[in-house]
Amino acid sequence: MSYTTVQATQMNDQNLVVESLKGLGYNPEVLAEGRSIRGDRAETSRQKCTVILNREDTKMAADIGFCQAGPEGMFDIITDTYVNSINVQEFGQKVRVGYQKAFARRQARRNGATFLGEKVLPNGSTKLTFAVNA
Amino acid sequence: MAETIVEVIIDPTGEVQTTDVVGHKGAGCKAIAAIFDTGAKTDKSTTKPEYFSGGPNPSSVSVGS
Repeated sequence: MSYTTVQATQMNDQNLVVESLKGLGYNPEVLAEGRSIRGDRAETSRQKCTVILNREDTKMAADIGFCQAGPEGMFDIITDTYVNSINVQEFGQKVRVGYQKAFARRQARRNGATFLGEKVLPNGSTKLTFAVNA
Repeated sequence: MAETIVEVIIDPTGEVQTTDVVGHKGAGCKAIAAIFDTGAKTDKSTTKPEYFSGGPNPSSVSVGS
C-alpha cells in the first residue's frame, strides 16, 4: 500500500535545492531527464523527479523526490508518507531554510561580498552575516 | 570603499525575515540590501528610521492640497 504526498514549495532553482540537501547531510541524485521515485516495494510514482533522495541514502522506506511541476517552475516534494515517517511540510521548511542560505551566499559571491558567519538564534531563526564593500 | 555589515535572518519556515544593513545610514542601504533580495513576496517592507534623518522622506508622495 502507498500514500503519495505532494508538498508544494516556493523553490525553483535546482542548484540551490541540491546545495540545501547536501547541507542537510544527504547525497541527492540529480537526473536531467528525471525518473519516478520508488515506494517501499515495486511501486513507483507517476511524476518524474529530477532531484531524488534515494531510500538507501535516507534509510527510509521510500525515495523522496523533487519534481519541478508547480507554477513558475516551483518544485513539489513527493514521497510515500504511508511508509516514510516524516512530516513532509516540516521537511520542506528545513530544505527551504537551506535554500535561502545557499541563495544568500551565492548572491554574496556574485557581488563581491564576504560571508562572515552563521548563527542560530534562540527563536530558531538563522542569522547570516556578510561584509559588503559599498 | 567602506565595508558594510549585512545581516540576513531566515526564520525556521524558510522565509527571509529581515535583511539588515547594520549601522548604515542613508539612501544606499536599500541598494545593499537588494543584493540579498530573494524576489519572494513580503508582507511588508520597512526602512530604518535613520534613513529619514536630516530631511523629508524621499520616497513619500503628497496627495491633495
